[in-house]
Amino acid sequence: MIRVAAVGDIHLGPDSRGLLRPAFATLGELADLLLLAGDLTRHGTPEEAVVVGEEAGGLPVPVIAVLGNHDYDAGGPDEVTRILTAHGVRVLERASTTVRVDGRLVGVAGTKGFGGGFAGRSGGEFGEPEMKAFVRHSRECADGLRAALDRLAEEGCDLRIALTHFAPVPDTLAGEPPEIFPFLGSYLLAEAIDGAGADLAVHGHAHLGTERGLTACGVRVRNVAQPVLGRAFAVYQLHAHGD
Amino acid sequence: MSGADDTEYRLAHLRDRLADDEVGELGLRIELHGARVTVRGTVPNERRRAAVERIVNEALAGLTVHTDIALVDGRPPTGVEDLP
Repeated sequence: MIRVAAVGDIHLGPDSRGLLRPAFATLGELADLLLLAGDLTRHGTPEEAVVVGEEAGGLPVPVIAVLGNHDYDAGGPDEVTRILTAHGVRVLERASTTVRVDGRLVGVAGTKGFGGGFAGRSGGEFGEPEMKAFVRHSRECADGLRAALDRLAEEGCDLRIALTHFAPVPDTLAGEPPEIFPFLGSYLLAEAIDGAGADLAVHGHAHLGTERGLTACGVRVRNVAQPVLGRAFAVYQLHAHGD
Repeated sequence: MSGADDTEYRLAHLRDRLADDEVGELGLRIELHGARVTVRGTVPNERRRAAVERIVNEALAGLTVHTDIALVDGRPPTGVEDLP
C-alpha cells in the first residue's frame, strides 16, 4: 500500500508564507510522498519560488513537482526549478523519478502539459505558425510524458503515476465553463497515459472543476487543485500489483 | 457602440487585470446575470481576497456586484481515498 499526498494550485507568495507548512509537517504520518501539481506561485518570481521551497522543502517525505502556467508567467521557469531543487523538491518536465516505499518502487512521470482541448473538440497543428506552435507544445509535453511513463515501466516500477498541471480528461473540469475547456487541458495527455499505462493521473489547473475522473482506458484521474480539494492536500491510497 | 452597454468587455478586461495584477488570480468565476455581476472562487488569504474585491469594485464601478470568495482551508485532510 502506497499513500500519495497531492495538491496543486497553491499559488504561494510572500504574503502566504507559513500557510501550508503546518499541514505539510504532518505528512510523515499521513503519506509516503507528496506531489505538487503546478501553479505553485502566482507569477513565477524567484521571491515566490523561495516561499514554495520553504513550505515544501525539508519534509519527512519526498516531494515531486511539476510547474504550471503561473510558474512561467515571469519568464523564468528554469530559475523557479533551480530554487525548488535547491530546497530538495524534485521538479519534473517530461521526466521521471522513482521513490522506494516499503520495498515497492513507485515511479512518477511529470510534465506541465498544455491545452488544446479534448477529442472531437480540439485544436490541430494546422494553419498559422502561432496555432501550430500552440498545439505542438501540447503534443511535445504529451510525448514526453509517454516516454517518461514507458521508462518507468522499463525500470520495473510497481506503481506508476502521471503528474501534470493541465488536465488529461474533461471529466474533472465539470464546473468550469465548457467554452474554456481547450485552455484547461488536452486529450493528448490522456492518450499518452493510456498508451503507456499508469495507476493514477494527478493534475491541477481547474479551480472550479471536480476531483474525480477516468481516462478512456480506465486510469483514475484526480484534480487536486486546492480550491477543489478544500484542504491543504488529498491522500490517495494505491495498491501495488500483488498487494 | 457608444459605451453605454460595454459590460461584457469590462468583465473581460477585469479577468485580464486579475491575472496580471498583484493577485495573479485566474481561477475566479466572473459572470453576468442580467444587470448584476457575480464573482466567486477561492483565494489563499484575507489580504488576497481584499485585493480582489478592491480591483473588482474599481473595474466594475457603477454595476451591482455580488462576491462570494472563500479562503483556502490549509488544514490536512480528515480522510484518505482508497483506490483498490
